[in-house]
Amino acid sequence: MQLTKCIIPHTIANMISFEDVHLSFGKNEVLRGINLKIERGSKTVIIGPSGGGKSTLLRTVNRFEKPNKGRVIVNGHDLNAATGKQLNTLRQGIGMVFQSFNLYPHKTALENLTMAPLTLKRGSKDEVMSRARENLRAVGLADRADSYPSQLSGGQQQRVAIARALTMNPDILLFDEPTSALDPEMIQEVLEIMEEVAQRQNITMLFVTHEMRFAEHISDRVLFLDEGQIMEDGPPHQVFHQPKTTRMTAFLGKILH
Amino acid sequence: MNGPFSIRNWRTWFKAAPLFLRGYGQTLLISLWGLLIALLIGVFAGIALTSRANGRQRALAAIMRGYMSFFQNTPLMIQVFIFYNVLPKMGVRLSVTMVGVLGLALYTGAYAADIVASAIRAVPLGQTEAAESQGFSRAQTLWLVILPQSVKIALPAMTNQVVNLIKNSSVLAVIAGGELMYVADSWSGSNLIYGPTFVMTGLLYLAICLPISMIARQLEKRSVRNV
Repeated sequence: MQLTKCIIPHTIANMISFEDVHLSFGKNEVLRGINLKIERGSKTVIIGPSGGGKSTLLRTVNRFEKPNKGRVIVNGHDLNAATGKQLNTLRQGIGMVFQSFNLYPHKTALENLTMAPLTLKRGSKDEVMSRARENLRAVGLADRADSYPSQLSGGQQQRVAIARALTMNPDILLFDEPTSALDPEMIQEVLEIMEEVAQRQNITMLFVTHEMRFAEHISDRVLFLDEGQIMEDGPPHQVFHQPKTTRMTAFLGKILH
Repeated sequence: MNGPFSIRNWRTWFKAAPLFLRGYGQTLLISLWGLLIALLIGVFAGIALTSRANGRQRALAAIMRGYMSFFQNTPLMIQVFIFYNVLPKMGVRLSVTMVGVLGLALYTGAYAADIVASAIRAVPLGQTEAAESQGFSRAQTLWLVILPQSVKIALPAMTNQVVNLIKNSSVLAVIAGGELMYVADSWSGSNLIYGPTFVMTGLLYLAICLPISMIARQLEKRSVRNV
C-alpha cells in the first residue's frame, strides 16, 4: 500500500496533530477549533461533560468523523487527503475500543483477535496466532479462547475487545468510554487491564473516560474538553488539583462526590 | 359405491400415480433452481438496497426498488404469461422449465431482497464500526462481519418464502409447465376423476411444505430465544 503521497514531513515527530479542527452535526457545533499535538507513546486522557465533543474528537483520529474544517494528521498522514484504500491501511494501525465492546458475535474470543490480522496480513499466521494467545493471556482470558462473546460477561467481553485491538499491533489505541456500559462490579477488572496495557511504551493511547482516579493514575496528560474547545491541557496532577478554569473546578465539583 | 371418492376412482388414480410422481419431480426441480436463483437475486438486491454510499450505488438501489415494486405488486401468473408469451415474440425463446424457474426466481427474489435488506439493517452499527476500525474494507466488512450475522436473522423469514415458492410453482400449470399441478389438472380433466386426484396432489405439496414450515417455526423460536 502506497501511503507516501499523503505524508506531511514536518508533522512526523508527533503521532497525532489536530490543526484547527472544526466539526458540526447540522447546526450543532461539536468541535470549535481544536489545536493539539499528541506525542508518540504518550497516554492522554480526555475528560469533560457529555456533549462536550470528547468522543467526536476521538473519532476524528480514525476518521469515523470528518472535520468540516482543519485537518487531523496521524503518523504523518493527512486523513482528509487519504483515499479509501489508504484509510483502511492507516486504520489497521489505529485500534479502537468501544463503549459497547462490539465483539463479533459469530466468532470465538480467539477468532475475534485473529480474524482481522490474518485477513489483512498483519504478520504471518504463526505470528498472529502466538500474538493473539499472548494477548488473551495478558487480559486474563487464556482459558476462554473458544468461548463466544454471548458466553462472556460484559467485563470479559471488553477485555477480549482490548486484546483484539492489541493483536493488530497498533501504533495508536483509542478508548471510547470503555467502562461506561459495564455493570459496576465489572469496571474494576477492565480498568486494571487497561492500566497494564497503558504500560506498553510503543503505543500512543487516547482515553475518553469518566473514571477520574484511573485517568490521574495512568495518564501523562489530561485534556478537559467543554463546548467543543480544550479548556485545560496539562499533566494530571495539575489539571485535577490546580485547574486554571472555573469550568474545570465546577466539573470536578460535580463528579467528585 | 359411487361418488367422487369411489374405490374405482382411487384405483384408477393409483395406476396413474407414476405420472404424478414425475410431475412432482418437476415441481421440486423447478422449485430448487428457482430458489437458488431467488436467493442470489435476494442477496444481491438486498446488499444493493443497503449500500448507498455513492451515486452509482444509489442508482442501483433505485433500480432494485423498481424491480421489487413490479414483481411484488403484480400477480405471478401475469409475470409467467409475459415470460411465456411475450418474450418469444421478442426473440427470446425459453423452455417451459426455464420460464418456470425464471418466473419463480424473479417473483420470490423480490421478496427475498426485502428479507436480506432488513436482516443487514438489523445488525448493529457497532459491528460495522468495529470492522472498519480494524481496517477492513466495506466489502470485507459486509462479507466477514455483517452477512454471517444477517443469515441467522433472515433464515426464518426466508424459510417461509421457500414454502411460498413451492406452492406458487403450481401457477405454472397455466403454461403447461409439466409440474404436479399441471399433471393433476390435465389428468383429472381427461379422466374425470377429481376427488382422489386433488386430495393426493394436495398431500404431495403438504409432504414437502409442512416439514419446511416446521423447520421455519423452530428457527423462529430459536431466534426469539437468542435476542
